[in-house]
Amino acid sequence: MTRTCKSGMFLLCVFLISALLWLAADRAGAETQVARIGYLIPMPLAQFADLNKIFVEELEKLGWTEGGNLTIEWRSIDGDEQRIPELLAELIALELGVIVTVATPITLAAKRADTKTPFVFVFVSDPQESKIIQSLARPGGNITGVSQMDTELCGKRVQLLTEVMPQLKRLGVLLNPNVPYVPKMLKITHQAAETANLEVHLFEATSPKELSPAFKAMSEKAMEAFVQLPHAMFWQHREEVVRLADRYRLPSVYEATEFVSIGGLMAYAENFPAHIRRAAAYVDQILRGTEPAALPASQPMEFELAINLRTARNWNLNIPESVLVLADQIIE
Amino acid sequence: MASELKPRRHIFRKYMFLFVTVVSGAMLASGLMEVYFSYQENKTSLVRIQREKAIAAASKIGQFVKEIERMISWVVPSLRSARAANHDQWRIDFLRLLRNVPAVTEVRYLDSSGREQLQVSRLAMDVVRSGADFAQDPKFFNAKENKIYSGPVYFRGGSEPYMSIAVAGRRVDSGVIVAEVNLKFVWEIISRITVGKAGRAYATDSDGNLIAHPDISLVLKKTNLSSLHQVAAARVLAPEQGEWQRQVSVSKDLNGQNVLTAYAGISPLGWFVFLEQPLEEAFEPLYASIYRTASLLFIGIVLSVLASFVLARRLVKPIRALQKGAALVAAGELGHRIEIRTGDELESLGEEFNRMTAKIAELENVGRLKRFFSPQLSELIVSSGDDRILESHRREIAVVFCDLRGFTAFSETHEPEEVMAVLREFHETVGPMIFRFEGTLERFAGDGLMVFFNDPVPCQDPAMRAVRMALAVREGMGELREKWQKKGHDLGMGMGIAQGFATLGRIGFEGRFDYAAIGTVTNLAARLSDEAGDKQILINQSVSGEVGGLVEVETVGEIVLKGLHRPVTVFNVLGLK
Repeated sequence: MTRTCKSGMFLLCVFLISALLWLAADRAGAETQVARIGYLIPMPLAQFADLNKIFVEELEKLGWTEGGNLTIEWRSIDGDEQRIPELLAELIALELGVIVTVATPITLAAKRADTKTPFVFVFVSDPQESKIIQSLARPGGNITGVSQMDTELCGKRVQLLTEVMPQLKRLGVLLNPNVPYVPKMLKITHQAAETANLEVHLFEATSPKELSPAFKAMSEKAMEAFVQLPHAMFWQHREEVVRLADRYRLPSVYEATEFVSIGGLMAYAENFPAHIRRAAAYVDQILRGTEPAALPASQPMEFELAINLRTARNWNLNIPESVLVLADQIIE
Repeated sequence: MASELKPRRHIFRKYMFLFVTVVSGAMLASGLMEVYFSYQENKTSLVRIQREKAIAAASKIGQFVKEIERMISWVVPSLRSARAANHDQWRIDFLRLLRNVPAVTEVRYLDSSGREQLQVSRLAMDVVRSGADFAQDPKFFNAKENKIYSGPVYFRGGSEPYMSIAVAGRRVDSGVIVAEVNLKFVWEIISRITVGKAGRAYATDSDGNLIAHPDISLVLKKTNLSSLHQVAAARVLAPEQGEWQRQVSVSKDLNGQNVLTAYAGISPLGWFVFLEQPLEEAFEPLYASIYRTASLLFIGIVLSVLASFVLARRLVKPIRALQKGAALVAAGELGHRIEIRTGDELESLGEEFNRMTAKIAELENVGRLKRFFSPQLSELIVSSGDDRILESHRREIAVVFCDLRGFTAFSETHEPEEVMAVLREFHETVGPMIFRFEGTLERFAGDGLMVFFNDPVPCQDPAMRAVRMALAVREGMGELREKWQKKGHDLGMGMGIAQGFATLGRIGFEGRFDYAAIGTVTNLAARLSDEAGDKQILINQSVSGEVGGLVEVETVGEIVLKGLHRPVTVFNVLGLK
């Protein structure tokens, strides 16, 4: 009997000790495991600080604390697209868990990069058109993310402009041609303009320096209003864009509400904070082991219409009911 | 010792096995029953709770769709003035609808002939009077017929789940409003449902296509779940109230994990809401109770094994003591006593055994004494329980000596078999008489024997007894002699009786003790016997004095006997008066 007792006690001890060791190992493992991600944006980090903060906060909600169990390698090309390959290579060399790429040019470079590191893109207008993903449901490869899907919205923006300016005849289109989705957006814009009997003129700006000449050209060509084809460069230099628009009295429906809060007339776009929050969810899932290929690229669910009534008043523009009905943000 | 250990182990094991089997078996059976029933009850109640949650979720989703239908219905009256064709007003109404119902991405108005009059979209430019023909579209004719129509779920861009909701005006000439509803909004309802920690809710359409799931990527991937057992079962079995117990409650989820699941149908859309919870989590309290039962069972079994051990030992120990005692007694240790204090049948068995051993010892004593004493005397001595009677002492006794005449010559001339036969007949005749008169047989030597009276048990009339016995022997020998004479054996018998003091007691050594009488009286008796002729019984003076009144004697005279200083007056017994 005593022998049975002893062997029983022995087994119990072995069990308890191994359980404790296992728990300790598990805890130690959880504590020491720090995930590392990269983050590459076109504009200076300071300019994107609000959205970056939202991104970090959202990750924290999902259990990833920067400086705790998460390290983020923040990188910016500071508006210089020449620097994309260099910084991207630098991040890839760090062998991170996932790299977040902001906007189409960087995402395109990431897509072309020869690496197994997963990428999550944000603020990419039409990833399918830009050949970044095969389809929204099955992105394929090591890249997925949050798309803006605002190609169709180009037509909607033109329509909104014509409702505010019923007499509009001559429409300028400001674009940066270095992104692959431009032709499709132009096509949509042309269709919309045709429906509204508008004369369309194109103005290109590939760098911030070219913004001023482009606006000057629009003014010289007697444009009565303009629309932009979305590009990170315009967003980055939105102060300049809005200032020039005001200077040449060129109303526009912008592709981001951030333009309206600094004096732009109107914007019809997805909510940016919501957009970047969804990116955090992708990062979380990939860090937890999901293959990027298994994560469908997401599309926006809701669009916001922002109107700056002060600007409208300054320009003696009447905002009709059909526009006000849809407005989410109205700045007096 | 080995022969003792072997059977002990055997019976011990047998008892242990029996006790452990009976006690543990009963405990195990009751434990298993409890686990089984609590499993069933737990499962039923968990599924019921899940089922209720599923019904609540289903009604929420149903309401979501109903609400959209209602919002569309509100717009319908403004379309009455179809002929007036106030497209601007319609557009504003439609825009309001978009504003109020975020899930609606697109609204179009089809006139009574199915031509598109207006299309307002969140994404694209509004289209006025496209004239596109929807007359053959189910959205149009189904709505015309049933007033409200919910189309099947489809995936926009191969990714986002959508459905069409069409509402027709009440009048024959009124048109149909068709809204395209983004079902990603159902996600908000579904993801808010909590099912334990790791559980989840999801919704599928009637074909098993995932419409809403907390992991929206599964929806966007256009996942079909009809391969899941519970989904397939739900599609086959229309969920009647009260019949839900029959539905699949334990199944696997998409990852092959075991889940507890329940569902509810979303009428009239034909969709389903499923709730599932990992089995481990759902049954956590059950597992806790199973562990509790198991540990109690373990403790119980250990205790029962211990108790069985003790009990078996208590049973086996006295049996072993009995066995040891029996072995010792068998080896001759009659003094051994068994100690059993169990207070039951085993104790009385031990007592019986001790009694038996005592009896055996007694019997052995009797056997020993019977060598010298008649059975009656032996019994008497043994029952007095006292050996002191055999210690040396002095007492007046009457000694009888018998001797076969002519035996020496006879034994020399006859075969040993014949000699032995004669002796046996002689002994068989004399022996019973010694017993009859309760004499003490001191010596039994071939053709002679010596018997004395008044010791170890005193008697009233030792001399008379001696004489009576001698007379009886003579009579018995008379018959024997005739028999012998027929065979040609010439054998006679002489006897001598003397009375006097002698020293009596046990003599000899361990293993061979005799009871002996030492003194002149024995010599005297022996000499008298020597002197006696055939059929003569010679007695001395003191015997004659004792029996004179009862026995007829004749005086033989004064004879000088060998080894005696003085001549002795000798009488011959003739017979009883």
